[in-house]
Amino acid sequence: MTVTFSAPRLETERLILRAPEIGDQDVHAAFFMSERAKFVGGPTTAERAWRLLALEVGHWVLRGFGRWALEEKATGKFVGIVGNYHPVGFPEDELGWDLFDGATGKGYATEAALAARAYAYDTLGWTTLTSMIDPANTASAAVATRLGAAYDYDFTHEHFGPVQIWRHPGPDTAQRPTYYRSLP
Amino acid sequence: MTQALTSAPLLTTERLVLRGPERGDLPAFTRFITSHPAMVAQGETGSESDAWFGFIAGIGHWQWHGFGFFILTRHDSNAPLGRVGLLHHSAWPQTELAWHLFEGAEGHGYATEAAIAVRRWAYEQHGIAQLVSYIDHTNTASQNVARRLGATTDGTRAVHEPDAEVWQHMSEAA
Repeated sequence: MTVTFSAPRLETERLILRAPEIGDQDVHAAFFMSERAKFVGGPTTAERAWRLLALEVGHWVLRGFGRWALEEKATGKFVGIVGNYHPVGFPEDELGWDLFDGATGKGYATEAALAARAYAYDTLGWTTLTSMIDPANTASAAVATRLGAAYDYDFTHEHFGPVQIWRHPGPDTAQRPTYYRSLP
Repeated sequence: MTQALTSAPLLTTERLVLRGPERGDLPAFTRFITSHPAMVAQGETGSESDAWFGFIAGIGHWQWHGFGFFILTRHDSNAPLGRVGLLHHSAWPQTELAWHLFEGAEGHGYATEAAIAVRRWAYEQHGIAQLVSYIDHTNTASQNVARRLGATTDGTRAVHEPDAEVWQHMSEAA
């Protein structure tokens, strides 16, 4: 067994949040090589997409938290990445979401982000969370709004350029998911 | 938390210890990515955050494949001298044996010494029958290491990296 770390597995109404796996690479690369990834560092090459997936795992190992792969319960399909993130170069702890083709418009980003945020506040003990959003990414801003977050300040990221930092409600007031539990 | 970042074993050679990456290696690795003269010369330097992402991608690589870049140290010090290891990205047809030394560690034959040990480990522990190295066609220092390792190239360029020539290693340990 080469994998020596473990990420907690979470379940929501329609999704399983689990560690990214090497078998996710084709679906992941298809997204990051497509125009739809333009707000999150793409489109990029297969080579770089592979590194982007591998580093999600490294983030979990180094930081002890990270972003989950979303699995659609009904189909078992890998449909996106959502979770808690803090790379060097980001101003604050971040809650991020990327939904792949065919998985948008169903509220999956909101459903998973509510679980990831509850995990950050109630399990990791965080006191605040932000989301970095490209000003042109209206779909992502809509998710942030549904989560109760609001624009806070402008930031220039070295790769993404000028972005907006949205701030989530804190642990006392943030909405929690209707259904969410840790899986053994 | 002192939990190991990878499952890397310890390999030892006459002068070196090869171990998995540790948190404490990050500053030296960042200096390498941001300012090593060879990286500057090839126009391949990155920022501090690029280095961090590269470091954690390397950890993910170990987690998935059970191999990756080893950190080289001398027997009497844990200070990182450079990296030698096995890389396999999804789009590559073969596994690469790769090396780079941090500033000040060049010129001692460390890359060759470590690469021989890693190559043997690849053959014996992972059953990898054929290793290649992708080396920039202008990188004479690295080409010299490849020659010392007995690798050869016919000048074929790597598909994913058009400036790099594909060097073939012997199919069993030297």
